[in-house]
Amino acid sequence: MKNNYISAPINVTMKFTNACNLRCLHCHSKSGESKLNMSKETAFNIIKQLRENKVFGINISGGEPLLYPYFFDVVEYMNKLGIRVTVSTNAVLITDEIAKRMVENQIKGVQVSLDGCNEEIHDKIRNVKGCFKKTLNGIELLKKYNIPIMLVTVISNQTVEEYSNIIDFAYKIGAKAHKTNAMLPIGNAKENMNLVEDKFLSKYIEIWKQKRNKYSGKMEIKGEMGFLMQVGLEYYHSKKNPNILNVGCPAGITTCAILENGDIVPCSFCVDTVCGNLKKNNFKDIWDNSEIFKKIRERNFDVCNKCEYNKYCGGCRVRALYKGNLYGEDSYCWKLK
Amino acid sequence: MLYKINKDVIFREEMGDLLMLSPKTKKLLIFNKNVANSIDYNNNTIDYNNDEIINVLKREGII
Ligand code: SF4
Ligand code: SF4
Repeated sequence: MKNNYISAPINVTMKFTNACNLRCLHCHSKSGESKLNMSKETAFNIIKQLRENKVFGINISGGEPLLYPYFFDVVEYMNKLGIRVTVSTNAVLITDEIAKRMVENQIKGVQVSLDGCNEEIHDKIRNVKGCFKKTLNGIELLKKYNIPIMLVTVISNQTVEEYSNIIDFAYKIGAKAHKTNAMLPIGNAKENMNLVEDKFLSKYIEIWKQKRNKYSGKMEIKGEMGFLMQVGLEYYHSKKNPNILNVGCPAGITTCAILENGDIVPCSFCVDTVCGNLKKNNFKDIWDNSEIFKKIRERNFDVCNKCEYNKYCGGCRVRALYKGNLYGEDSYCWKLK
Repeated sequence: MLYKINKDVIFREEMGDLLMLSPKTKKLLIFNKNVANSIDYNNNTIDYNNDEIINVLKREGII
């Protein structure tokens, strides 16, 4: 693959609003503090450009997407253009009517964040009392309409204790997959990085492996890409199909994210790395010509550039930036530990 | 055989592979070079004779 370059991303995350009904300790957007919504006109214009560039899927994220006043307008439009639509939500606001409209609009999957299978821990992390019960209610409604659910847990010192139970719980409620996200040093999480220490990492990996065997063929257990070790190693050793999709960190290569103000960033967590703005330039122009995208695709990062796994891993740019250099080493690199 | 590709199918070629999004199931399908070579991008047609592949394309609502 020449410089990890493809003509357009496979999937794009779009954040239409920064408004949120929760105040999570690990939120990467500092959502809820401002209430910036993308205008409907801008949203439609961007979606049209993504379709013209043959982007296959859009994940609607936030903030809380259900607070976006034009949520169903954009979903309907994406659907009309034949784009695959998924949604990331805390599920608190899902009503019977909303779940029904989601299924009518062919939403292909909903990612629901859950940080514990009891009220105490989930509500504490999500910072709003009573949200656990409401999330469960939302999940029930999604199930009623057979919308595939993926539960997502942000892994930290707190949630690793619950990780095993959450996966069992995900299976019990009929989720198609469980995924972990790393707690990355951005947004609210920057001030709460004491929740992330190295010591939970080995415990996390151990549980992940064990559960992956237990639920093999029944439910997908997605490991944390940001921790990279499994992804890098497995692709490296299997070398089954080292194609464009198996690049480790997909930021700026097979994916990117668009924020509510029109900024394009390499992934939904790289919110401080602006590659361009869609109110000023068109999508294709930024995707092809942004110097940041070009450099990320070269994958000539400190430490990684001498690593045999570079092609299948590449480290996490969010964590590299936290240490001061976007193109520097990933402080969580499993190999350096 | 020459088949017309449905107008709502998103498809493109990358590194010689053909990527297609099924309008029916919204699955992303990746085909190898042979299939990619049989596409006429100007006319949105595919000229292919492998029954197995053609059945997949039909099943997924692509042709
Ligand atoms: S050095 Fe970079 S590419 Fe190698 S394992 Fe560490 S993070 Fe991944
Ligand atoms: S930079 Fe890469 S590894 Fe880090 S969060 Fe973004 S996509 Fe994931």
